[in-house]
Amino acid sequence: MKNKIFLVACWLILFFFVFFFLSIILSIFRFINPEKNLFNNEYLKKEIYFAIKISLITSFISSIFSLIFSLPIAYLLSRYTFPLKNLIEIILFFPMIISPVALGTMFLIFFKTPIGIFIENTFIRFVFEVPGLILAQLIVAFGVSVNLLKVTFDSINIEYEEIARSLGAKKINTFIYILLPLAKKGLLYTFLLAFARAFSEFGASVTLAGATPFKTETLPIAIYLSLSSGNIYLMAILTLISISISFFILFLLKQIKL
Amino acid sequence: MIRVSELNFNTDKFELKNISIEILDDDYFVLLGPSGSGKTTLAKCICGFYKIKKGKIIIDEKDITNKLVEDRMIGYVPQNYALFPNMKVQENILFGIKMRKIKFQEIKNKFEELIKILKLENLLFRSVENLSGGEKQRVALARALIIEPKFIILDEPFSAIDIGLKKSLWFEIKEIIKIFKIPVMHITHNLDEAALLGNKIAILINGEIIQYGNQNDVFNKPKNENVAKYLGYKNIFAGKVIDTLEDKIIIQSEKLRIIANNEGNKYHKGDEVKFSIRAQDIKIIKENFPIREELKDNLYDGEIISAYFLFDTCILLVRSVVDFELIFPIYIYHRHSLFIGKKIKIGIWLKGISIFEK
Repeated sequence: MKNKIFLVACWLILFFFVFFFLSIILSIFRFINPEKNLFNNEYLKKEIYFAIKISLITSFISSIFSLIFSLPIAYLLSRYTFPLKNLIEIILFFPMIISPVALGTMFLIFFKTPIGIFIENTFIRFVFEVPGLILAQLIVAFGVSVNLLKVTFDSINIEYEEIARSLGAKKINTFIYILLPLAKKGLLYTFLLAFARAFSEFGASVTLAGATPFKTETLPIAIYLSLSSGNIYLMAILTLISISISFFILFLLKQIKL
Repeated sequence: MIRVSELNFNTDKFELKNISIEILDDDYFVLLGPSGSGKTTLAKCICGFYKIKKGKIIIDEKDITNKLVEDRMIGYVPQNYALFPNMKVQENILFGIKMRKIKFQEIKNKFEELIKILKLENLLFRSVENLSGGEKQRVALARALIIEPKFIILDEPFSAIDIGLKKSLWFEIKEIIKIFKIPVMHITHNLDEAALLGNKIAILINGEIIQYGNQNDVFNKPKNENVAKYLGYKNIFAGKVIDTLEDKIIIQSEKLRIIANNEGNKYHKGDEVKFSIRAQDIKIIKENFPIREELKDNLYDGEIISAYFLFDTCILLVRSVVDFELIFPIYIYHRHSLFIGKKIKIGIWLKGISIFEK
């Protein structure tokens, strides 16, 4: 009897949350009026396309970079013990935990310091520019990538690398020929989750890169702008597009059998 | 030849203490020890996967202690074989060749000979995940041997193999190693495996080599109680030498008085000793039959208090002046018409009594 009560309670909680999430997704349709076709408005149409395009491009670039930078770091964290490792892990994972707006604010402050000004003047401008979007997304996705890749590497038996080395492989070769091929599903999974995280990034992006239409207006920023200007129909459509892309990424993630 | 001297290694939880071994080119060296005793850790220290704190590792008179793993030329076959799952059988075997930038043409003949000896001709393009335990073992062996290592370590190579197949593979692996004439260190916790394969045995307990030497010496003359217990010796008692008679001594324990051989007059009157009587060396004396000379010194009356039957052996507990554990083939139980409660006479084979440090 107690077993049944326990299971029923679990199922009830599951159904409640599935129902709740579906309700909030479906409620969006309440504001979509097929008679009011926003796509007849050329300006709005262009704005929507731009938001989708800039979101996809910046998310792709930032998730690729986050993957590239995460690989050596996750390798070190997974395969070696060294002094202050815990502290280093805390520092690396903190962008994942901290409020994105606070993170964006920190960036803004950093780019007002002499080093920040030097970087902006010498190399590339970040503040209120597209590279600022990529940087904000990159840092937020980076924590996700390092964490997931470390778990992926942890799950691969170190004996494969030991054997490879005993057979004559240098460390770089064990990384290229053994670890990376064995981690390929984890890499794909990490890339998709980092992409999803970058795609949905709002707080740090809007603070660092601003919300300039046709410049730094990503999909989440466009939703925010349409909401603040009271354009509920536009907001609903943008939200629906955002949900569709998220579902597509989740569908892809489900296809990867880890 | 490989010589390990005074090797020390420690982590927070475990320590290898002053390990010294020497393995000659034609030795089949078996490292025997219970789980968690540090056998694999020692192998990994020799391979260079773990950095040792102190000690030297010398192969063919060359000190390799500080050499990189990839430059040591030590073949290592781990417990689960660790075949690279992202490669086919042939790619696995040739991985070391690829890493050493050797052209396939240069080793073609050697490769063909190796796969013939190891019977891998029909498996070369198979995925390693679909191989049986025995096939995986042969691929791992080929992969380690193709680089012509100066020394090979087989770490519990039969642990993933069914018990029936295991015994036939024991012979096979010894034959293969013989062909390649490489000094070998075979790690196991299986006494039968060690007895069949090893000419030299070391017993590692809690990170220390407790006994090391020729198979006969290690198996028949355990150095102390720990080794004796690990080797499956039963009937262990503590006592005092109360008298000496030519090449024999009389030992008195609390309840048991026994006569034992005193090889080299090692023990003297008054010595405190521990001794064990191998369960298989306590014989049941058949009534009205002449008693063999080697048993006559130690005869006891007793009563069977319990009997346990394994696959092909029987373990008997006999209550006499002390409780003795006997082990013998099952047919003996029926031939002597034994049963629980039966009064019997037992005799102890003199060579089955081992005396060791207290």
